[in-house]
Amino acid sequence: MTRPVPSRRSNIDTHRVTRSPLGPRSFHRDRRGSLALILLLIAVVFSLALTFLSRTSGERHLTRRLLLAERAEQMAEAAVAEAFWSVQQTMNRSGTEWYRQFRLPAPQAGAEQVVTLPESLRLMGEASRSEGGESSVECALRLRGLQPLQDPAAEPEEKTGFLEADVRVTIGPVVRRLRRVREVRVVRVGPPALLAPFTLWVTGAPGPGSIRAPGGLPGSPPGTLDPAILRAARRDWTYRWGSSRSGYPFSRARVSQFHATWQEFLDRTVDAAGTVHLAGVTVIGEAGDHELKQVSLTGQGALLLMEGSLTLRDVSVPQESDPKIAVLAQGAVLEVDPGGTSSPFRGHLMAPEGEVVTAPGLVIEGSVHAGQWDRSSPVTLRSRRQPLPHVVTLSEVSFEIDDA
Amino acid sequence: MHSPIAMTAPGSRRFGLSLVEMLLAFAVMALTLIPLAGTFASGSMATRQIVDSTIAMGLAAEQLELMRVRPYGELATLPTSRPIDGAILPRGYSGTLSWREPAPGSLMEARARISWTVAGDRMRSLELSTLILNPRGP
Repeated sequence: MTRPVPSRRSNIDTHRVTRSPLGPRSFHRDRRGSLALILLLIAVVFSLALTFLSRTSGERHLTRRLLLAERAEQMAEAAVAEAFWSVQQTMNRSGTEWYRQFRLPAPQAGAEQVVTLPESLRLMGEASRSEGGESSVECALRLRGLQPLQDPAAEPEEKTGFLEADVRVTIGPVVRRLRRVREVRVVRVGPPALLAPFTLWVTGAPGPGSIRAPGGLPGSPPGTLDPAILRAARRDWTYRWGSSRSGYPFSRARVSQFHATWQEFLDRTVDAAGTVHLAGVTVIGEAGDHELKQVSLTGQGALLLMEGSLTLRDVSVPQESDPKIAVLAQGAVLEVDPGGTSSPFRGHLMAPEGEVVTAPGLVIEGSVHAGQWDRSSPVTLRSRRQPLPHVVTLSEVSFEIDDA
Repeated sequence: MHSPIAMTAPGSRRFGLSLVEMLLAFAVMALTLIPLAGTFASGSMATRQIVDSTIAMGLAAEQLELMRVRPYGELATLPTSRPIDGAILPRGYSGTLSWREPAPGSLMEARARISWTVAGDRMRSLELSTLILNPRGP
């Protein structure tokens, strides 16, 4: 008789069994795995956060440098402007250092004349202080390429060259350097040197080369000029400013601005306030009759009409200005009418081959040099301070020097 | 004979995650993500400020360059302070241009001020200034 074999299934049925496909150690491995996953996740998140933060910090740093660079650029432009302005203010004012520097005899071509003057840059000093202690503005002005004027009759003081402003602006880590140049021209703008001491010189008076001057006029001795001096003065004058009809060469090296037509001169020179600023030598080529009416003449320069005639009507001249007005053509007329203004005409009237016509009651503080002067009506002529024989001009256009 | 099927002894640990462990995991995640969210938010705000400042600086520089190219005499006839045309500014930006002459007729100080609104209707502004020379001299 056989004993029944117990069924395996009965074992299964009768015992509760927990299945674990991984084995007895699998629970401990799960726990460590979860912990590892969590740590890995935290590490990834922190890495992303740090990367993002560092990138933002880098962008902020770069942007701050960009903003500082833009501010330094504007400060450099401002420093150059103020440097040239400081030169313009004093270059034609006797007794100043720039006045003296510009009128030194020109060195050999290509030599560099460094002017070691401390520039005020007052405005830029205030601006740099507003940026805090990290900012600074430095400026150096140099005269470069000074050459004698290309003219056989050039005087030692007459020259051309360049004025360079070299500016360095530092704001924190940002440094900006800017170098700009303007052309410099130093020329005689007044009458010939031989005639400069005379307040009045009229060649058309009775007798050649006679001077007719009101009694007691300082600096204008009555009588006649020595014929030799007269010839030398006329030769000097016509050589410098001779018209095409005279046959003498025209010295173009002295000209700062040339306008083919009178309208072009008005369009480019008369500003909205009705001011005509004469700097250097301005030449008008157009023939005909021209008029300046109700304007203010400023500056130390000269206005020369090669072919035409000119009428100054109701023109005012500020105290500090000293313009020279000349008509060069033979027979040209330079007329001055004060109109309604009671202030004197301060300046110098020249018509070496023509005629000066003055209205009644006119007061002239300056000089008159003319072939003819119609003084049938009373005119008061007062001597003024000696006009500047040489005037410095800076070109309107500036050029930037690139070191690259 | 041992059963090939594994058997758990009474008192042994059971497979799975308990509630405590879940809560601990969520707490760790919260501690990580909440500051991170704040970081991303502040980073985005910082990026926005960087963009706004850059745009404002560019606008201010552009306005000063526009002044610099005009004839000096024409500049002197403009109002000493005037708003910048809104049509040329991006939305949310406004600006003013002002000038003064430390040296009348020869040197001018120009200022460009750009303002913009940030979140919460707060206003921020940026100012740029420079000097402009009358090339024809005094």
